[in-house]
Amino acid sequence: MLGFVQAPHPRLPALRALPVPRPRWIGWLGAGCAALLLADTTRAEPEWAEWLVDTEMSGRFDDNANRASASSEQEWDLAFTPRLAGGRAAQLAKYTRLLALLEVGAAIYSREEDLTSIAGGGRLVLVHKFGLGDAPWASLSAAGGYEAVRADQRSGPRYSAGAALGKRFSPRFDARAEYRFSTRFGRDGPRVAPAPGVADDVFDQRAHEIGVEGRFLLTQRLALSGGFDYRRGDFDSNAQDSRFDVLQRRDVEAVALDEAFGGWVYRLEGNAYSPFLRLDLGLSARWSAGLAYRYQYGESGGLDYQNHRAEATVLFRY
Amino acid sequence: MHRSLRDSTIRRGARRCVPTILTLLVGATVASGVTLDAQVLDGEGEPVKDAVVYAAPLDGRPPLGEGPPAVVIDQVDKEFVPYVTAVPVGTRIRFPNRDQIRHHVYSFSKAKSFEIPLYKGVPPQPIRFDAAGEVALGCNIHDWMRAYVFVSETPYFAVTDENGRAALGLPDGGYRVEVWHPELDGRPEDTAREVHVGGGEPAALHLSIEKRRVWRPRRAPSLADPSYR
Repeated sequence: MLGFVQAPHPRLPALRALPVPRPRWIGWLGAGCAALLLADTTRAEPEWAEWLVDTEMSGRFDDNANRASASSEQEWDLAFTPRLAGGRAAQLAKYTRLLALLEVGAAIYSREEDLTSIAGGGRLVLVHKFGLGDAPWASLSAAGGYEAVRADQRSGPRYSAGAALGKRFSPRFDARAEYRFSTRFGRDGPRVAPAPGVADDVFDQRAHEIGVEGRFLLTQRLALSGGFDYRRGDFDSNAQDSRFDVLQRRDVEAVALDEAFGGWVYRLEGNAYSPFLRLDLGLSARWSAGLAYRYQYGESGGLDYQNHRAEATVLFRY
Repeated sequence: MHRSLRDSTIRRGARRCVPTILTLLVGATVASGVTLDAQVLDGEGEPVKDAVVYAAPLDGRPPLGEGPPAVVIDQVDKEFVPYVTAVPVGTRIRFPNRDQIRHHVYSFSKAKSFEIPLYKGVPPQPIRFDAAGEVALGCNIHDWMRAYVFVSETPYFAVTDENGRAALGLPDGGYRVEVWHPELDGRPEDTAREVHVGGGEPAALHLSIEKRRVWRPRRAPSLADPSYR
């Protein structure tokens, strides 16, 4: 019955040949920044212009926190996620500013405590506005950090880079489109005994994501946002020990024992589709509160998962 | 050398005195006229703040003085203060930035199009508003910052307070009184009323306007990533 696991995994050579992902996009990001600055013919002297402090406290419900394919194996959870970001904005030119932020955050899970984590990192966002008033804007961003998870196999550095385009079409409505590349690394293993030779670096993942979002003022204080994200790349999914069929799949790239949920956790490359809605109430100039809902459907061959996330957030910005 | 310096000083002093004298003359004229107490209400009977009530003499356009030497519209805590400013044609307005961050003031309005790129403190030159009409102000860094300048052809105007009240000092005579407000639904001409004042008797006038919803970009943090703030 377990004979299939004795054979070498058909994807193994290709997986091992994969180079360690390197942030080559940093070069492209630098070139983009230089292009924006050169295009801004009315340069001013760069100057630190503004301090920024964002504090966010969220409660997040996820009905499938382990992204299990089988509905009977899904684990719901509730996480409290405080986040603090601080930094400065530098006015590089008349229409160009650079945001430099340091961020720390945590995720405290109520049921699956091994998912509890703390994270820290930094982010640079270069924003250029193509004129006055409602002129469109473009941004380039790069972020890097480290997340330490109690289930240590999930701990590791995270990097992302992206570009966004946006425009305010009226005082009530603005929209944006975004592309983001992200990569994360985790610890290998623990190896699944019945799957010798199969890669176990489940949490080494890369993904490309594109998304659009529109925001509409329902009242002067209440904004409704909606959008859609498409993600192509690696994701991890949890299966219980009895799901040996998972190991037979050619598109399973890596398998490890799951230190958080038990059973196995495996990595697939696939697509995820995610529409979302958000209600955002401005309490004052610096405070807001929001409710968000996101549906996600991920698929890779015949394996798929779906989850529903709801989040309540209070945000303070200095 | 000393003489030319002194002459120059005297000329500068004289130039400074002219608007003051004109203001005093206008004030003296007003003192001999009456005060028109106007109140502006909306369609639901609620007082309208920040409405400009202005009166044009029925016997023709009044001669305009120099106006005040410079009016000030501040930027405090990422807001323009005041929200509505009324000035006569020809007024120079300064836009001091009281914040510790930079602002970028601009207007696309037909009555005055201008831009003061990123600055702190007080810009060296005021902006002269030399055409009548409404001028919408914005800040290119902080989208929610909005304010209005109403440039009046007549020197007889006032901005309503939170009770919707404004007091206009008017010389005796007949006037056509109109109202402008950033949220006015329609034209100021549609609000026109004729009044005759004189004999030292104070006059009162109730004006009603229809308001439309004017949206401002919201000033509150967003749960989305910052785009440009």
